[in-house]
Amino acid sequence: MVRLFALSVFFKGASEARLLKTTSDLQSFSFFQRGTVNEFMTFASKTIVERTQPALRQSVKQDAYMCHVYVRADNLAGVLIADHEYPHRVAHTLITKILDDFAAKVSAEQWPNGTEATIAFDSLPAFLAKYQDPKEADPITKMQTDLDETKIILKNTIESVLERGEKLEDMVTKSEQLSMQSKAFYKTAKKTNSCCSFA
Amino acid sequence: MDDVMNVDFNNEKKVLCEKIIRDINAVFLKDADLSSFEIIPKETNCNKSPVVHVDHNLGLESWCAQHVYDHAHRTLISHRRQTMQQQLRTLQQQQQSDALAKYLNVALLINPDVTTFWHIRRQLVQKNRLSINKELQFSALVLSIKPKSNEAFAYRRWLYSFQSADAIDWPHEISICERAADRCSSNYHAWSHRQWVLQNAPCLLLSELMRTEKFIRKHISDYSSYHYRQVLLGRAYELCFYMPDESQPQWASLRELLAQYQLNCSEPAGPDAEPLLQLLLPNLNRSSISAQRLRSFLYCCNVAASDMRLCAEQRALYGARDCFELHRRASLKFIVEQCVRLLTGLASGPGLYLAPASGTQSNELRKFDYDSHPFLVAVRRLEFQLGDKHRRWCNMHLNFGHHEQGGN
Repeated sequence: MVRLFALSVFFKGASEARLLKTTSDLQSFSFFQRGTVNEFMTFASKTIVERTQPALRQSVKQDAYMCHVYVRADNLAGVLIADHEYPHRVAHTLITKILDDFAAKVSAEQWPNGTEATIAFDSLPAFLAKYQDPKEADPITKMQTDLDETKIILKNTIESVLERGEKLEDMVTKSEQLSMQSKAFYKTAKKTNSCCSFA
Repeated sequence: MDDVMNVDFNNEKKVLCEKIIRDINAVFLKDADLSSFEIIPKETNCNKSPVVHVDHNLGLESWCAQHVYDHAHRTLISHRRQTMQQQLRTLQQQQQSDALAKYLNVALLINPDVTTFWHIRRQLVQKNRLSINKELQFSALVLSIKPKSNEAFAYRRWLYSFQSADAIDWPHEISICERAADRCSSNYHAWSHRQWVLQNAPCLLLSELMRTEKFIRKHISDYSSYHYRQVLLGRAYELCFYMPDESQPQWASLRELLAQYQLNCSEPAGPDAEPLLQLLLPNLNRSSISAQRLRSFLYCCNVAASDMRLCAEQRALYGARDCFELHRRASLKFIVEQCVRLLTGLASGPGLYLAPASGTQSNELRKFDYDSHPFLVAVRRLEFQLGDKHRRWCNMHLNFGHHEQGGN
């Protein structure tokens, strides 16, 4: 399957990453999983942004998903969650493009204190829908010829992005973004190793 | 004392399970359009009903699933034993079978693999205690939690055997297959079921050709879908299918493919089939072959040629993958095989994509002179440049090697 699940824009502040805008397409998940999956996608996106240096690109593999992240030198960051088959190069091209669009529409003063409610930038859903087919990105790929694929750092799990001494399970337990229900979901999914496990 | 408490506890559990099963049954009665069922991971009883019903989706919290299943299972098995031991009076049987349905629903949703339970359902359908339409809905619901359930697909086929083919909503059946195949890759049961639908409803050929192309574009490494498309194309050819439409540029993909093999059929791409046929089937004895057969030949080869181009495009976008390579081969094989069959007069043979020619056919093929055929010579020359492995495949499956090795 070639599929995009979620797209979000963050500002990477000194202590934590701030979510500015996000959208997701979770039709392929069963109905009662969607809320939880959404929470986990945002949680994972934030976690990875916080652990990515500015001016760096990473693609982090986790279960059946691939989190592509790019933090610009000015600390504006984009995360695209896709499945394994979505071409990495296209994913990073798209992040670059969406961050350019974002920066052009929303002035940099708003980034450090912005929230989803205050930021006026509504093109993420249309963007996510359009580029479900990576072919649609052909024209952009041709324009951005400077993206060097060899500079994208590939990581095999979220754990390998974490700092020394950090553990994903502890982070899930401590997290304030995740609801009780999602934490229960995570525990059960981990135990049964079912396909709905996200983080 | 302990025993008494145990009995109490068991009774309490039984009452609770009965209540949950009743709740689920109430949802079934209330909502005729349930579209999905799932088990929601939740480890503790929070003192509210574990049956969740939102927007035609039904959920059951995981903490009670095992107990509820055990209870339903026990009830069903003991009932079965009873009916087998003593022939109950018909009236009694009927009353019981109505009560059975709710246990069957719950048990099969939680564990769709128990053939016995599906069998009890069949018996109830035969006694007119369950309606066929409701049963179709129920099996679709089971497929929402287990898209690979062969039992559910088999049950649907069995239910349809009571209906006349023109009363069946085949497009709906296709969409059920597609949803199941989308949820689970390599879903053998869904694709087999779809083949069964295709056998029964040949009117779907064109829409299927379009749908499957869309599907393989999205599910790039699910070879089951490519395989179904190969079967589909074979079926289309078998049924002499073609599009009567003259307006669009005719056989564009096929012309493009021939150009890639450096063959010139370029007399301006008009609607005339002659130059194409001359190239693919030179010196064909037309007297034995109908015009429809030739039109279908061109149409199907054009589909195969466009698939070969699709595989090349996908490869450029996603990198090399087995599926692209294998499907390209299957499509090429289709074209070569149909050419050879028509030229040797084997057109009426059974299914396509046959194993390397066998028995009587191989004699015919042995006599067939590949070298006198410019299209096949060109295919051989260019395909042989694609590496040793591919060359061996060509020799074996396209019969290109038989004269080199003195027959294989």
